[in-house]
Amino acid sequence: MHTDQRARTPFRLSSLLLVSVLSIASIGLVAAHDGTHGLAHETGVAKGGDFTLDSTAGPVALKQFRGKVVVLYFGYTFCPDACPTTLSALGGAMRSLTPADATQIQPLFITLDPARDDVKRMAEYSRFFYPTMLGLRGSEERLAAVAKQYGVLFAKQKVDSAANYVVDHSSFLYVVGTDGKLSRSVPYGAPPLEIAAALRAALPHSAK
Amino acid sequence: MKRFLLAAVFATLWAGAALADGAISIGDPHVRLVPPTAENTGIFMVIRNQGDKDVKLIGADSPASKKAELHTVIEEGGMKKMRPVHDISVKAKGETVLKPGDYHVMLIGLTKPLQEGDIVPLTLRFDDGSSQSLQAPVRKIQVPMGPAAAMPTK
Repeated sequence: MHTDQRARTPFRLSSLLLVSVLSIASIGLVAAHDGTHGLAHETGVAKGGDFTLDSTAGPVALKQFRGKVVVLYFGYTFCPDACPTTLSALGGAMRSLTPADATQIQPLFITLDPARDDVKRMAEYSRFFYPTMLGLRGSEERLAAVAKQYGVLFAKQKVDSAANYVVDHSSFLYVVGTDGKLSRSVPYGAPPLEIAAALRAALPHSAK
Repeated sequence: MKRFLLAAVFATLWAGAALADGAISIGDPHVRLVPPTAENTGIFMVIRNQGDKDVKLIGADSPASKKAELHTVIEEGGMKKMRPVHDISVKAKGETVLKPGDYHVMLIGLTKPLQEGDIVPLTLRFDDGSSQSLQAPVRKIQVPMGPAAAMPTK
């Protein structure tokens, strides 16, 4: 930053150090204020695992889909961009599969905005993209726990907009194998055929 | 619906008048079809500026929603972040594309669910004092099926 001689004096050095310490402290504060969840993804410790959330038909547990492949997406219905794009791609992927394969795959859409998304809204929103896609919701605490399990990053962010707040979020599809274990994640922007290939790869009996 | 159609007719007339100036033109405006329960949606288009001065899109209005705002999406810290913006600039002799994952006009608080094929009237306001009125059809989200091995670009 400073290339002149004075920058090397002990005084300058100590003030630089102080500034650095303060910057790091404020980054910490900002992160805490943001309420960013699920840093697990960045550190590569996303493990996946079971959860139970709510739907219009009552509680839905990941466990009840053992023997099927489950594909998860986390987002919110207020989202006009990444969520409809990804869910459309997922719908396209499901429709590209053989009917036999498609019945072996359960798509789930999980809200990160429980304050605005009730189970009814989630159900209708999900069904629009694929008829068997279920929309799930839970309390903020439960959703934060599930998001953390899967390494989903999200943060509620107040914005100067009629939308009042948005939910910043990472945008991966998570493929859970027939054994209930997280098998792989598919990044945002993957075309439907690539998503379909990832789903078929997780099906034990599919013609690959 | 009647009011929509009427508005669409006026929008066409206005659009024709505005186009006579020639500097700014709008290509392929369309509204993203979202589930009937969705309260918001995005409008995408290409804004072309044939003039010699840079212009800025500074606002939008539509009878289809309580509010129309200018937004963008940024990718930061592994997250998609949607943010309102004050303006969207279009360079002289240039164009700016409003597209998914990028700039868009966001309709917030849709007054009624949109159907595929509906026409949404939209007025765009620019910093040179001009405005453009247009009609944007509601279209299904088109995701290219893509090769299975392709890496995502956007």
